[in-house]
Amino acid sequence: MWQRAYLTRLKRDLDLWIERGWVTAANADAILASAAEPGAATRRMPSILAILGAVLIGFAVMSFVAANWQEISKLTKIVLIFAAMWTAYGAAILLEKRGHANFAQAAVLIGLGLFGAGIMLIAQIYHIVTDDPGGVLAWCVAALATAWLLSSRAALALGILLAVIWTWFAIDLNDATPHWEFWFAWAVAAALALRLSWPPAFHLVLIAGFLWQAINAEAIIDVTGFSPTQFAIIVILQALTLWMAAIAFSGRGARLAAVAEGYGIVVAFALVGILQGDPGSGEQAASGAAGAVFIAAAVALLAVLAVLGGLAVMRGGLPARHLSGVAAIAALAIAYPFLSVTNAALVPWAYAAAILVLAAWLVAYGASRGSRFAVNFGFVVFAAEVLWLYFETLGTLLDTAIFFALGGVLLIVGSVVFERMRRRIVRGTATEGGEA
Amino acid sequence: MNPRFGMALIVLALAQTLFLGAMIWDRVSLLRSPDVVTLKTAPIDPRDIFRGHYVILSYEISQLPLGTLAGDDEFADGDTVHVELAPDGETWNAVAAWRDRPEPADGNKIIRGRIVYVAESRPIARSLDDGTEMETQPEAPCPGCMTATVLYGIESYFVPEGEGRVLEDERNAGSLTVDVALGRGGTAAIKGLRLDGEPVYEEPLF
Repeated sequence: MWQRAYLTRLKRDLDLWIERGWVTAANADAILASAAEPGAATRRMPSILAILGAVLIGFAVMSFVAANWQEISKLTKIVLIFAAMWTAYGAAILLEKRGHANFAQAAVLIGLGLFGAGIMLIAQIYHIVTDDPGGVLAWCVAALATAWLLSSRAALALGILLAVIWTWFAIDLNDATPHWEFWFAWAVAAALALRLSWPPAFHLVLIAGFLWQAINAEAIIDVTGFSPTQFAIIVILQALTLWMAAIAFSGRGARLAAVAEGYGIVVAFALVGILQGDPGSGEQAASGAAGAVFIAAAVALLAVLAVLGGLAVMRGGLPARHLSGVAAIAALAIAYPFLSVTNAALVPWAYAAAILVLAAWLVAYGASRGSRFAVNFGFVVFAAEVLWLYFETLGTLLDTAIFFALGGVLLIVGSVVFERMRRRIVRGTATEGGEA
Repeated sequence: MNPRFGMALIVLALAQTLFLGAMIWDRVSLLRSPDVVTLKTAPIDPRDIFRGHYVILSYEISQLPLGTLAGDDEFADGDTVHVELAPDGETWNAVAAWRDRPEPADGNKIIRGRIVYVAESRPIARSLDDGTEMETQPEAPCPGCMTATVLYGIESYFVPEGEGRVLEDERNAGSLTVDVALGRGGTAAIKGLRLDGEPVYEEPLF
């Protein structure tokens, strides 16, 4: 469906370009014929289906183990699982030899699934506790080793997933301290994602990093003495740091940088949005030991953020004027505990106004960096904020009237700003075209 | 074909096989240990007994009254604890709790566990009228104070699909005890279940 829509659009554009003399009719036919060929996604379909099949077989084996079927003796089950694992790996070698690399990877994934099922089976036979993190760690190590030795993307994805489950089990067993050991597995996974240069792995690695913070939040709060609000502020500053680091080092890996930038934007905006709806919980802002630890962590992160922001501007990745937007988000985060103590009633409305302005800024930022994601996300933030305001103000008719009046004024001001920006961009493009 | 692929895969498969083999060997040697104790299970809320197809077992020694036991008193969440067990009729009871593995008294045995929670202080009493904290007398009895919740790695007992409920009924009909094999370091493994002293589930090595 998407292919057909794309071809229709392309044909319409090509007709226009032929008319303007940019493309010859012969070239247009060649372009259309090339675009109509089966795409990369279509070519990849068999291997995608094979991997999905491998995942289903893995689940089937695990369910079989979980059923604890008594008709087969324990020893037979163990022998069966060993045999099946070796058969899967043998099949992978054969398939690789015959040039079916993708099917070989699917067989490797089945082998890894059987290894995990083997761990579960032995745990079941000998009544080892169900949430033992050791077994998951062993499985995770096997998956990451496989990803490293065989350059297996599926094994890498499995390894990252298992690292998160490992940290989950570990923190469930002992929530007194954060599960720092996770970061060894994470670092290996991140290095492998870079080595394989596979964007989905970048996504998984970044999601895993933020998930770790969510899973370990209680333990981090216990150890550092942060309040939940202070912890959220630290995560916002981390997200901004990730965002700036992505731009500063985008020259070394543009695809990873684009993914990291996206997560930095989403996490920073999402948490500032959550802060605005939680006024009055910014206790312990700068008092006692917790305050000192928080201030030290915040100052350190702000220093790193400033360095990376400067680097991003110096390397030409970020127009200097856009630093103000990032600085504004950092300021909103840092000011929150103080404002929520001194003027809690004002916080939601001041932050709502700031978020609306920042959403418009994000659209401008995305346009200037050529990031379609930032532009779209800016609109999403704007729409979400307007909806939030609508529900928050919808108490009395007077409140609703104020909301609509303010919203209308904001939209009109916004449209004027956007129109000015559009004219400036069009003028800039025309000048560049003239110079060329 | 990548010439390294086959070799790498064989190395991986061998490593995984060795790991699974080591897991089995470890458990089999543990279950062959001559040190076996029988532990009483503690009553637990029936609604929380089953999760899927395994039974959650809780023992009397899962709740250690540190204040009344010999040995060390200062434990924190996550600490390893070595519990000294002494025979008491057909079953074994905790008589001391130590941080480091001690040499047990003659006839006693050591089981190793991990502390998940220590209830250190007496519960705070609040006024029903305005919720303000009420003063409690320091000498007032406090049965739950200094009680450590301990896991020994023998809290899950896997049963065939559909048999969990049957075991629960059997458990309710009599007193359920568990035979536990103890390794040299105090590591524990379930060897079998007994109802009224009679084995109802006995674990073969394979």
